[in-house]
Amino acid sequence: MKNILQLLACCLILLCLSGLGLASQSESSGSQERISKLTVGTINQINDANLWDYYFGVYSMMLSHQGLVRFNNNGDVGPELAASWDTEDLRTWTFHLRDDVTWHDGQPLTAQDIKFTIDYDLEKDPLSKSYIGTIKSVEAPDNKTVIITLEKPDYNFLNTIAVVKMIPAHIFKSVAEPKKFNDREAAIGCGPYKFVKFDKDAGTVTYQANDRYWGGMPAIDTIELRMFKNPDALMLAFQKGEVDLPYYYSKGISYYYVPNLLDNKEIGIEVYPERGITNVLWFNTAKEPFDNKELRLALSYALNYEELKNMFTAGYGTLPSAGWVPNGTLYYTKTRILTYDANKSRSMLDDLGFKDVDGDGFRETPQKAKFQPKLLTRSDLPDSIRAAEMLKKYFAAVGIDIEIDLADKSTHGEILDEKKTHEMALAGTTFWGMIMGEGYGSGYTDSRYYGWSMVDDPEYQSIVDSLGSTQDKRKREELAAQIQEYYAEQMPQFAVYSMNIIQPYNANYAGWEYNPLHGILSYGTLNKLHEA
Amino acid sequence: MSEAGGGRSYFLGKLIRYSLTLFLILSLNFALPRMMPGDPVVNLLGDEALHNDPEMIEKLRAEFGLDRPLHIQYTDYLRSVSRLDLGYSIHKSRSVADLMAYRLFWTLVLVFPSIVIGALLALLLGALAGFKSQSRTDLMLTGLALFLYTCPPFLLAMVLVSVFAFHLGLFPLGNLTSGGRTGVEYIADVAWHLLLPVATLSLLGASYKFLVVRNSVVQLLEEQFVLAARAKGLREMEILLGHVIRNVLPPFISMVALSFGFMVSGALIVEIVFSLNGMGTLVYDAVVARDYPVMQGCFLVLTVSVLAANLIADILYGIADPRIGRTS
Repeated sequence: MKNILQLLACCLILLCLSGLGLASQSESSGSQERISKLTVGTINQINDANLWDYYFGVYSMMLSHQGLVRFNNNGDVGPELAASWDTEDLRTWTFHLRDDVTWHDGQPLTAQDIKFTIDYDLEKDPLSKSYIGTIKSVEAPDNKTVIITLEKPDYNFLNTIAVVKMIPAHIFKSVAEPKKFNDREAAIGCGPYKFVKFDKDAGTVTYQANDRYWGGMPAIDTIELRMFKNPDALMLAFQKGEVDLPYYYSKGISYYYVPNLLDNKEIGIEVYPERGITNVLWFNTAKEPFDNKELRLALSYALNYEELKNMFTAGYGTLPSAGWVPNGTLYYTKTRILTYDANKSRSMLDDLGFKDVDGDGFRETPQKAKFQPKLLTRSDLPDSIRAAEMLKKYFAAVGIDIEIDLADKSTHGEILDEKKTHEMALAGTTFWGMIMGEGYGSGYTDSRYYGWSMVDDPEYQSIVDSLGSTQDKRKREELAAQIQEYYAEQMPQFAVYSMNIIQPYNANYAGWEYNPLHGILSYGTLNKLHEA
Repeated sequence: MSEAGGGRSYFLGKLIRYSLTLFLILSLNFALPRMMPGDPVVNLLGDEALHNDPEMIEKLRAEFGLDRPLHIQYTDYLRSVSRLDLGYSIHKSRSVADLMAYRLFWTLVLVFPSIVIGALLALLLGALAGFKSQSRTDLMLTGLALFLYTCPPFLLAMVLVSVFAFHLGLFPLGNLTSGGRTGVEYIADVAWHLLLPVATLSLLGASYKFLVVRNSVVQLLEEQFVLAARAKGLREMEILLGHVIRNVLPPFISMVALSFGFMVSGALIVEIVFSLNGMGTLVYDAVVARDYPVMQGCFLVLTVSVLAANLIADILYGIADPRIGRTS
């Protein structure tokens, strides 16, 4: 028995030593001029190298695939495969393609590929209707011109088409079921990087620089995505130098990790303003008594925003303003900063008739009925649960008893997106979400879109419609101001706190650039990264 | 009734009971996911889609067969299961069988050695601690076992990762391989990657079984047959191995058999900490996303596995002790 145990122990040690030896051999040495390899660590899980896999699609859009237009670092839309475009009525859009674009397999990109992609998406993927369902027809009169006609005028169409990645017609025309097409050819695009391999066991996806890229050879030879299933292991790998960049799609890292990182000279940290909002308190304005703007306003005074900012962002956050949309948004208008005034809140609630009739310490409705609204939030987001507890405390201090309704992601989505049975909800927004609908958060607000606050006020919808049909910049600026003033006055929802994006990176490299949609994995970074 | 006839009816009765249980669980597998709040299609769409119109949602439901009446879905489901067709994942763009075959393989590679190592550790150390009850060895081992038993798996796994992978750099921080290896190199690389997760699971599994073995040994040492063995002049080690352990084995084996039955459910926490692709995270992701076909497939395999383990245990008991199943 003793001998067997000794033998087993020896085998185990040998296996470990051989593994250690192999690991040290695999370390690569960096070049002085170009970056030979950038390892990007992420907790986003790619299941297959299939463009219809959500996260593979997201990373393809950053690295290997392109659209007609692309969001630049200011959050505006700029040219990509389309060198230029024009429209007279915002309904018919004509795109003029670049003439030097080739697919990764060497075939030239033509207008037929663009027409094929849009028609194919609409035919094969019902989900695409949520993005490009308003496209009525696509024509390709010649190899370099694409004409897209919409059901109705839409100023925001460029934002929508920016996230549609183009696929080669010569590959996909014979593919009947794209979700089952996991061949390597399925990842052929025309972007600065070519997909090389997906190693499921190692949890890595490898991309190589495209030397025939129309925009010039990017600065990094190989990009490896390394997937982790938990952020703690990712941050350990980053601190150990195995990962150059911890990357969360449309998010930064938690502030919990910052103190450790600050001590490490190999690590740099940038803080970028968040173009979404971390946590928003939504009122279902289609339901009584939340259809009363005075009540919403009274509740807004009950929250201690300074305390929330310190507690949930550790100083890496901003105090919210009544105009709701984040600073940095195009035509951002300054509105009053939200302030904590419990006495004012109490007095407003008194005036509205919400009084404690039965002496239990909590207010009843003006009709003397029990008032205990539900606050819906996600059970899988610890910060949201903590924030909901804080809101319960703040509201209790002004005499409002709320009930926290925790729901997992799926149930939360069903209530908020489909059934609309919520009274109040605590949930965040993203940059992409804020430009949904006609922008300025209208997708979240207007009952005709997602409408988490279910606003169907004709005054609001008229501003939204005008934003969708107005090209004139001066007029758009006025409309942007109007919609922010509407939010400030009506408060169908308001920000509770907003965390900036904390982005750490390998400080041995310089030239990192931030993009509001793609984060630090922007084209600026891909083209300009160099040894520091 | 003859002895052989009694045995046959015993096994037949067992088979009927197991078949009925399997049918009931298959039905529950179908019903439970659909009774949960939430909708796989709304979940698939996400809250960042520009439009979320009912027509599109209905089209998606039709694509996954969720628009049909429940009884039709149920009969289709039973028919598919009888053909071993587990369907297609709503969220992962893969057939459920493919998804599960890959995850199940790695789960077995991870969990099987953990159960075996954990069981052997528990048996050896539990017997030692029980035999040397109240000694310093017993106090140390029992204290360690109690600590591990009460230690949250996430904490233990993170401490091991932090010490052995991050600070000492002896092991990788996660995943199944480093990639790009073949043959023996690949096997060595996988072993190197799996050593810490296997160690975590082994320690956690051993801690519970250790306490059972230790307490059983302490109790058995008080029995009359041990006194008789001592009176006959047998050495202490002979008593432990030849008499005490033999009596500890039956409940120990059933405990280990049950662990094997549940083996296919994976090890969620360890999979998350070490970034491994196993059944635990597959089931978790499927439940979060309300991916009905994947949930049904995973629960089916888990059910069959637990039932099979129990059935085998029942049969073995029947063979080991012919009195079981005999009519009085």
